[in-house]
Amino acid sequence: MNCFEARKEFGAFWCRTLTPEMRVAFSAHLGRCAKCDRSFRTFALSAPVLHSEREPEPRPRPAGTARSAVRPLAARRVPSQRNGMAPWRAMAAAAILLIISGTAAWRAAAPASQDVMEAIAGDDPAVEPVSYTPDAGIFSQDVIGTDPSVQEPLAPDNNPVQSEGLAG
Amino acid sequence: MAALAAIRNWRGAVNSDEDLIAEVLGGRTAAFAELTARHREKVERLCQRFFSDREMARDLAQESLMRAFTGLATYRAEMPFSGWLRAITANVCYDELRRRQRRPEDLVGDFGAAEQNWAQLVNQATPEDIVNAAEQRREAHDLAHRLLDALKPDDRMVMVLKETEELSVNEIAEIMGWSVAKVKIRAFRARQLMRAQAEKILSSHKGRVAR
Repeated sequence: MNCFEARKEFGAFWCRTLTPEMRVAFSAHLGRCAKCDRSFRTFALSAPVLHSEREPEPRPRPAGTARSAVRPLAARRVPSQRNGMAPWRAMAAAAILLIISGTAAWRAAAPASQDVMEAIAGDDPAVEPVSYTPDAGIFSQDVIGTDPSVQEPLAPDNNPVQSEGLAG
Repeated sequence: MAALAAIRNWRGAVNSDEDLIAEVLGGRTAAFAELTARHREKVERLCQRFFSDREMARDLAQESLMRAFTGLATYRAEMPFSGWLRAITANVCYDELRRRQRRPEDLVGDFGAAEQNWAQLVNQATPEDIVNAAEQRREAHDLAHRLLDALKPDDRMVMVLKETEELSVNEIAEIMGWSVAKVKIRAFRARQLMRAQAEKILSSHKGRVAR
């Protein structure tokens, strides 16, 4: 194996897709070529992210730093804490995300949107599925009727002005 | 013969991505759940190439799937759904990288003890031992992420899409909406910078061992 061939196989060696014979030839070349050996070592520093199929499990977080499991989607990333973003920008972004998501879910069939949101949230126990199913109840007459701040229009019989006008 | 027909029917019952998309667009939005189940892992893995924080990667994967859901009407069957979804995910990650942009010189600096040990091992062990050790050591991933953090968002996009997704320069240009020349320049710069940073790390640990 020459230098050109060896350098072409860095990724394959890392992913173990080389044949045993090629693997031996690769290692042997690196053993006698200092330049390729050095290149492989620099490659190896980034390979765990760029060339590995899966990552090892993350280290457990120290006690007391676990994030709350029950949080809405928009509140899960808090940019202001991560890189000093102004809180109003984070809130504006969250509001826009909520509006976009809500509009999309409104357009979709209401009973199915819950399924989709749950599917997108996946089985991560830390993720609380968010539903944007429109609640038609808030627009109903019942709600308006029970709201003391909303006055019901007067019926024509009880409205002196209207009654007089009609009588005249 | 009956068994063969049953197998055929069963195979026919497995809907393609395009069938599921048609169902979603036809009003059965629950079909998107199946699409999500099929592609979630790939989407999350791509996000993890950009962000070492697993929770952050999951959030971005979720956001990508949401964008795919809301923009499904714009999907055209000329490209596979997986490619379309990958483009959305790449753009979501790119936006996040740009939002979090930091000065590169801040990033490759002080390492923890575990990362220093890993750098030392990469300096001294045989190639075979390096590969074996990398699989179990979280610090190998952490250090690799720090190395990638040193890249500008544009360079990093090219590096990740080229190396992990094995996309061509033309494909990356199409996904990012850049010219082919820009992708080539970014790829060249990214490789140079990564090599320089890796050399710096290895040299500093070589010195420590010698002392």
